[in-house]
Order: sequence, then C-alpha cells, then structure tokens
Amino acid sequence: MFKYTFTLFFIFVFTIAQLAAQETRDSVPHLQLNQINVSGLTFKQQSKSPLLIEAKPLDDLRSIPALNFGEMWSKIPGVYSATFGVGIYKPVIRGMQGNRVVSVWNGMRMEGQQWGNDHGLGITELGLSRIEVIKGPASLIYGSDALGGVIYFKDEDSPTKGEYRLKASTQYNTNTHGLVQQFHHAQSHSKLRWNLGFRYGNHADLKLPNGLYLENSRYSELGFNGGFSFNSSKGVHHLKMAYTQFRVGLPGHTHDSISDPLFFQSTVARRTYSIPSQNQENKLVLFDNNWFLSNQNFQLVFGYTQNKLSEFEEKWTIPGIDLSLSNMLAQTKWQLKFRENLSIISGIQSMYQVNKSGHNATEFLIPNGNVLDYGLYSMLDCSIANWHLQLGGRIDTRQLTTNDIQFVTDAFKKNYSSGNYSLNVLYKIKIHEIRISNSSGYRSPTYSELLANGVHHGALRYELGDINLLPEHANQLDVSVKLNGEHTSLLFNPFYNNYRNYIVLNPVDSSVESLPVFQYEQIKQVQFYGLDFALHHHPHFAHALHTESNFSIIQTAGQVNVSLLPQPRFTEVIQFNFDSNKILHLNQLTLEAMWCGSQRNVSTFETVTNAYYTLDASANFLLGKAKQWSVQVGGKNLTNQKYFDHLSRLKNIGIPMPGRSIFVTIKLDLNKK
Amino acid sequence: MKTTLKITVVLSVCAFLSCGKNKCHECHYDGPNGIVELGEQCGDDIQALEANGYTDSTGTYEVHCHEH
Repeated sequence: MFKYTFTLFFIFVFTIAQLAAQETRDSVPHLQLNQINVSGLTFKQQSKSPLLIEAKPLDDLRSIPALNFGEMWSKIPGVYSATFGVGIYKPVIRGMQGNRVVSVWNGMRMEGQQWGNDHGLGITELGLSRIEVIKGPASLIYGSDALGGVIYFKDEDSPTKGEYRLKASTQYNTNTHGLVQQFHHAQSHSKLRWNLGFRYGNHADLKLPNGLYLENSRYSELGFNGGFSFNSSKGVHHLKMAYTQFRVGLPGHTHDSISDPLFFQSTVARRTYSIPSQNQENKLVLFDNNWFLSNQNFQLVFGYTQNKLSEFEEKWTIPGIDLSLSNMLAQTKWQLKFRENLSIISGIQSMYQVNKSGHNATEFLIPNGNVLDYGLYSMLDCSIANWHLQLGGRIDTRQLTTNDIQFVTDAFKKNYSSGNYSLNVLYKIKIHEIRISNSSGYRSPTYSELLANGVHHGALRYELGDINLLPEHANQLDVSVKLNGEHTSLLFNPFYNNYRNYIVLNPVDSSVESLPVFQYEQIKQVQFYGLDFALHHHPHFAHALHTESNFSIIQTAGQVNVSLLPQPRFTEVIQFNFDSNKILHLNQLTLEAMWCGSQRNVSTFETVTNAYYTLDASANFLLGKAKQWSVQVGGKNLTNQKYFDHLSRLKNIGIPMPGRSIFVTIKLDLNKK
Repeated sequence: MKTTLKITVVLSVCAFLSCGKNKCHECHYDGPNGIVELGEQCGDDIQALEANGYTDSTGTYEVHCHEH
C-alpha cells in the first residue's frame, strides 16, 4: 500500500506543478469533454454535475480490440469484469458485483438472475455509443440494489434530420478463431427516426498461453436491436427494443474435488455445441416519453424485460436449471424549474417481477415467486456562484411473495423498506473541480439468499438460504479533485464505503450429493476504502500524442471474510492520432500496458492471486477518399503471459486467462445527409 | 450502398449456416454388468432416452449421452 501511495503522491505533486506552470485560459481546454451525462437524475455536462459520473464513449474503448464486452468496460477506472471463460462476463464496480450492481439500458434497469456468479449480463455492444458508471451507492436514483454502483449503457444518438447512417463491421481473432459481424442502420426524417441493428458472433474454444485450448469454452452470441423515435408538439418519444441470445459452454466441468488443469485442455479447438452449457435469452422493450414545458419537464417510462436462463448439465434435452424472469417497470420523473439554477426533481419508480422455473428442469435453486418494488424520491438541484449542489431523499419498499411448495410450506411474504439520501457538492475554482458526495444505498435479500435449497451445478455446490437475513445498507463518502489544465487533466478520487449486514455465501462443514454445502450469512459491518486516479496528457507540442494513466485500488479495513476483491490495477495508454488526406493512411496507433498487483486479501476458501502485466497494441488505418472504410489490426496479451485474474472463476481450477490474440477488424461507416 | 448491404447479409447468413448444431450423440447407460453402449442416437430418440431412461429385462437405467 505504501508504494502505491508514494507513487501516486509523486505523480500528484508533479502534475500540480505542471498545471500551475500552465497559464489557465478561459478557452475550453483540449481535454475537457463537455458531454451530457444521462445516468444522473438531471442531464448535465460532467463539468457542472455535482455527482461524479465516469463516462466513456465506446469508440474510445474500442481503440484496442476486446474478446468480449466485459474487457471493454474494464478499461474504466474502478470498473472490472468478473469472468467465466470469455463467454460469461459481468460488471464489477469498486469490488461489488451481482445483485449489488444495477445495470441500466437506456434508463431501464436490466434484471437477469444476477445472484449467480456464473450468470452473465446478457448484453452486447450492438447499437450502443457510451457507458456511464456511477461508483458507489446510488439508491436515490435507482432504488434497491444500487449499492455498489450503476453501469449505464446508452444507445447511439438518433441521426439529425435527413441523416442516414450505416455501420457494418466484421472482426476475426486468432485466439478463439472468433468471427463477429455487426450491422447497424439509422435514419431520420422530419419527425420520425428509426434504427435497426444485427450482430452475430461465433467463437471456438479459447487458446491458453501454453498453446492448448480450454475445452468447451466456445460460445456464440446473437443480437438484434431496433427503435423508433418521434417528436410531438412538446415532447420526444422513444420506443426501443433489443434481443440477445448467448449459447455458452461451461468449461472446467468435473465431479472430482481435486482436478488436474490439463484434464480440461485439448490440442484441438472445437466449435460444436456441447454440454454443460448455458443458454441465455434477453428481451428488452422500452417506451420512453419526455415532455418539455416552459419551466418543467416530465418523463414517463414503461419497460419490459425478460430473461431466460437455462443450463444443460448432464443431458442434452432436459435442462438442469431453467429460469424465466419477467420484469415490468413504470417510472415517472418531474422536474420543476423555479429559476435557471434552481429546480426540484421528483419521481416514482415501480417494478414487478415474476420468476418461474420450467416444469421439466431437474434443479430448483430459487422458488417461483414475485417481487414488487415502489420508490418515491425528491431532489433539490441548485447552483450559487461556483457552488453546485444536489440534495435528495428517497423511500423504497420491496415485497417478495411465493407459495412454491418446494421451498415453503405456507404462503411466504416478506416486506422490506428503507430510506436513502444523497448529498453531492461541486465547487469550481475556474475550470478545476472539487466534489464531495455522501450517499446511501440498500439492497433487500433476494430469493436465492432467503430460500435457496438445492444444487447449483454451475457453481458445483449445494446452496442454502437463510430466511432471517436483513437488508444490506451502505454509506459512501466520495471525494474527487479534478484539475484541468490546457493539456493535462488529473483526477484524484479517494472513497470510503461502509456496509452493514453484508451478505456472504460461506461453506459449512457438510455435503449433499457429494457437493459441498454453502450457506448465506451476514457480516455485521464491512468497510471498504480505495482510490481511483487518472492522469490524461495531450501536449500542445506533440498534437498527435495522447497519454492516459489510470490507477484503481480497493481494500477492506481489517481482516474480513469477503471474497473476490479486485486486484490493484495500473493502466498506461499511449495513443498517436494522425490526420492525412491520403487514400490509405495510418489514423491511430495505440499501446496499452496493464499491471495488476497481487491480491492477498482473500476469504477463507480463496487463494492468493499473483501480480501480472499485459501488453496490448493496435493500429487503425482509414481507406478511401471519404474515409468510410477502416481496418484495425491489433493484439491482446502480446507477450503471451500466463496469468490468473482474481475475478476469474477458472482460477480455482488452475486455468489461466487467454493467451495471445491477434485481431483484424474491417469497418464501414457511412454517413449521408 | 446496395452492394454493401448485400455483402453484409450474405456474410451474416454464411456465419449462421456454418454453425449448425450436431444433434446426434453416442449414448450409454450403467447396467448391472458395467457400461452398455447404445450407439449413436439422434433428435427425438435422445429426448426420449434422456427423459425415460433405457428399460431392459433387468430394469430401467438413466441414459447418458455425453462424456462424463
């Protein structure tokens, strides 16, 4: 910890000295991106938002190709990806994942059996333009479960009037011999805009650094999306739909308590569908209505999501787990502006979930049941001189009901309620920003935590719930200092997060059907603290050069039995951007080095993870006079390092992360008016 | 423009067709005298065997159609 602190302190002092030496001008600096963030309650430019929101355009995240979408969002400081091979990935924000992170698609929360470590998020990058991340509790905006953070996936903006857009790409990588094809079309007329997208990817078994292939790590993905937007006299209305289907092999399948990693490896990469496998289908429908009046805005959103998750384990035609989760949402938001710099935002959010298991499934981990959520919030948003303030409160209730006789003898009903608050302050000194946020969050126990009583084959354990679990609560203090120079930007963002009644899954000294029994339990208090640090440099004397250094670390206070704490991570990106009118020219060259420190803060049945580094690079070429075609050639893990990531489920069976991979991507980007 | 669209559609269809699922598998059951091979079974036959097991004069046995 000392060496990290010392290094960061040195960089901090150096940068401040550099920034102080620069003449601060009134003009907008090179690095200050005044984009509008949409994941907060008010749509604000980041430079005016009291809440720190980390936003990254997908085009930036694509500068180095990725084996899956999770590798892309892992480039955001403080955000990681928990993986199971390359086909299953889910977001981790400041060490929290699963039910402690809310995933939002264009303003609508996505639900997809997040309680399972081996259940992926079920989203592709198709049609998306940006990822925004709120780190830490955000229950004021998103209600229950927004305890560890929120990851927000935003669609591409609609084309302007008369504009026509077509994007098509095909990508091949040598590691999984994966071929991914994507097509997205968007068009706009006077009042109506629409878009349509398609994506298909197929991957064989992934290649490990030793040259062998991980058996049954193959996967395929299919995605469609589409939508209409239209203007009324005083409003804008969006109807959005998305469909994804994942068919993922589950590698490392064994019934032996001790296994040799070579048992799961092969000299041949296969692509044929095999079992055990996980099939996931997601349907998302969103109807978002916004009305803009003189001194008030009103939003009414209806949403529907359906997640079908089947795991075929021992049989090809009879699923082990077969879960269907339907989710209906309705939410309103009303913003009343008293003055340009003073407004109140209030709203109601509701959600109704229905969870059902297929009748021919052989394993029942969670009961058939319903969840009903209501939340009511109000927030004051004001600005006085250099001060910007947001202060709000919220009350929530959640009701869980089931009469599934496999789990309960009598009708089961549990009600949870909670009050939450958020106070965010931004103070601007010229173009520098200082933020202090104090926010709370809560999460009700889930069905799996309360009532689980069965074999979880994907996790190779028998899981037991506890009906007496209490809701988790969290309070976070987040301080950020952002110094913006003309050519340099520095963000220093320490945080402290206090969790109460933290739910963990711990082994007990028992076994059922030769599988170890795990029971859900609560730890009275867990405290996390850490730091996100970012330094961007874009020197005037070398206009083509852009460097970016990021560092993230999270620790627990004292020895607590908390698992899957991410490794400290330092990333250095060096990018050159070139401009030319030649028919074929090198447009961008990117080098990315990542170093992850060791993780020795482990729970009882976890093992220590050693430090590792990886080196990635890519070159992007533009073709044609109109620069509509591009070819990207790149590589990940160029040195073919054998390394283990602490958040990989395959680490437990001695399987390292994927070896070297070379990518070739061909893209067409047409834009006509 | 039309050419681009056609190429995209053709590539996408090729990708779909090149990944057909293998629906036939070698099946066996653990009989009283050891493993009994049932040979390659396909489609509805696999579904029936996995759902109902295999019955012979000594009893009904659970059928496995993948390597264990």
